[in-house]
Amino acid sequence: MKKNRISIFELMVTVMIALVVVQTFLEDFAVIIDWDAGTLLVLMIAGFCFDLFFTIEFLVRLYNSRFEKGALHYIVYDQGWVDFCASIPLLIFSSGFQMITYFQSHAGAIIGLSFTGFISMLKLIKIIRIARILRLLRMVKIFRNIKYTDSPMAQRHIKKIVTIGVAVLVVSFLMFTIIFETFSLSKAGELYESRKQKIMEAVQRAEYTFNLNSYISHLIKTEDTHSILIIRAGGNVVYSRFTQDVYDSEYTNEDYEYRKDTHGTVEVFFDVKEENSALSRLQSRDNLIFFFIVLMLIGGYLLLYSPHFALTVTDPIYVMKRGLDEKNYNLEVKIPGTYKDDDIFKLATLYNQRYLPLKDRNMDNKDISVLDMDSTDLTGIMDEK
Amino acid sequence: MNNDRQKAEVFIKRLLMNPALQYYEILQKEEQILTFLNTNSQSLFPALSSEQFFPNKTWQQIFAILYNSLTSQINEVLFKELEAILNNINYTFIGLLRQTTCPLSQCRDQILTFEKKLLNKYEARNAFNGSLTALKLNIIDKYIEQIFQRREYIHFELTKVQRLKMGSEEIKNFIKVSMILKNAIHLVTVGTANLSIESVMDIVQRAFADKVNRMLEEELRLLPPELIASAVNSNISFLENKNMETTSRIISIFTMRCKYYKPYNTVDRGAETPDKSWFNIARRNYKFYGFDIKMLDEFYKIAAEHNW
Repeated sequence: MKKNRISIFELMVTVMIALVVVQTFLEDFAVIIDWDAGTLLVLMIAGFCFDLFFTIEFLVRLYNSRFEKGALHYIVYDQGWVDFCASIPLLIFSSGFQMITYFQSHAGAIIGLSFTGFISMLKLIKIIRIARILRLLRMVKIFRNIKYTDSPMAQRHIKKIVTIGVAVLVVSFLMFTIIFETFSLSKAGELYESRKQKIMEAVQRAEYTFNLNSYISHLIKTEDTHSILIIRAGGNVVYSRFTQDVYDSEYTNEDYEYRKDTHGTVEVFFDVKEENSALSRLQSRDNLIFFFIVLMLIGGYLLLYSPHFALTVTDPIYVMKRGLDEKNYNLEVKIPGTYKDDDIFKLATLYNQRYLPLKDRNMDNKDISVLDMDSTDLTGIMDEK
Repeated sequence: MNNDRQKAEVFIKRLLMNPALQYYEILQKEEQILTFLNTNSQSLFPALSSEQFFPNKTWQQIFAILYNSLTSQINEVLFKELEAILNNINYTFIGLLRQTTCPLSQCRDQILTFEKKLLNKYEARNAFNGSLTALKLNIIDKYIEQIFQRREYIHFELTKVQRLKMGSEEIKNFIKVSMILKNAIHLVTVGTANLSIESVMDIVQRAFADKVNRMLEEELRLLPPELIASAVNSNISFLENKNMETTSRIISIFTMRCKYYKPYNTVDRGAETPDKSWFNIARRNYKFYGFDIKMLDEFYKIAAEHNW
């Protein structure tokens, strides 16, 4: 019963991993081909659900590990660190962050409060973008649940090498992104910030003129206002570039930024769609490239290295083990010409050429029986007639 | 159920139905059960000597009851199989050997009667194991076909050295009948009380084989001496008898191949195929078994080429 529950849980995790790989791809692909804001929202919520699921999975495994080999063993030797990196940081810094900003900014539009008020939208995008890279680690998790070879040794080795490969790639990508963001984005960010600052100062000045409406009429005629979406004063919308329908269908929570003046009476929603869109597309392209690199890396290990490992290590060991273990198992080890000088095949040659002939000469069929019964099995034989 | 015979019958039937035996030939099943009884006698005796089974009997007595029941149950299937095999053989090769016509059905009946009598002996049953398995697996047909296609060493030995002036089908049938009669070497052997004693090699001396040859020629008058010699001489070593018939050499190899034949449902990845493995091991042990090494080389090549 407990075993059944475990296998159902593992099956569910495997299905979720497969789905999250598709979701990861679609989230970036959607940005590149410019899917509408509604679809992006669905993908974002799906991402949050996946992150929540994997966080729960990690916590369950961590809890259960206490009853097995301990939490440290799970974290260090049983890929617990992968489970951790691919769950909690993503929930906090990626999807959770996005969800909070989404709902806060929507709420902010109504009640005048916004989480984004505390943090620059560009910084937010940067954090989400960096955290997203960790999603690629999830592809490693699939190795835990898919039985791609009969040999536990092969499973362990392939899992190890894939984990190292993917982790090195992800860390490199992470470092590359941080460096890139720090140097190349800072200039764009500075320009953008100074422009917004100027507008905020202008809005603030207007407030003191007690002639806000006329000042805003003047302001929206100037070149800078293409970055203003909504201005609210004293809780009333005094300017809106588009209707609410346009905001709902074309603007995600990442496409605008919210600021309020020092007195808190004037609130401005800035349009960052263009900047965000360009940055997101670039980032999504990079993400997809890395997604496919990781996918190819895993595929390569699974489809090319795994059979090679089986052919050159575990298969000959398995055949020799059976030959040594079972009295009537006399199949030779297949020795590929290319690898005949490998230690394992040198051993297999000795097994084929010395051990098996000797075993054959000493084979006495009298002690080989495939029947496996003992006296307890005999009880009831007569009654079962 | 008070009758010992009935109890033994139920018990043996139950053992024969064991799923572990399902891929084994009938005499292999018998061998497996005998091995099981012999190796587990100590643990089986307390249960089998209980009131439910055979109370107040020694292990030897119990074993004898079980052995008789086993052989009679096995014989029911074995004789049917033997008859089916003999019915499927075309005996026209006998006419080619003898240059005279004889009623072929009588030849078949004579072999069947002789074998039924011979198979009452444990040694003969044991020796027939390899032959029966080889015949059931049709192993001769597939290898002889290849030999005639390749026309190498074995073909030369069959046609030029042994001078068999017949086609491949006749040679196949010739070998099959010889294979059936191979166990005739036990016509004069004395049965051992201890059934666990067995020679791995199954090799006899030339003089002994010659004696059996003479006796068989008297007993199986309808069969040509070449056929009897081919069967009986398959029990001697080629290394000590270089003029041994080619068919005898083939028979000695294939009966040994099938004696301990293990049915592999699937060959493990990383392992060689069963025939290829066996022939390669036999090549290294050819002196021990008295095989013709050149013949083994050719069979090995055939097995390797066809992944057998």
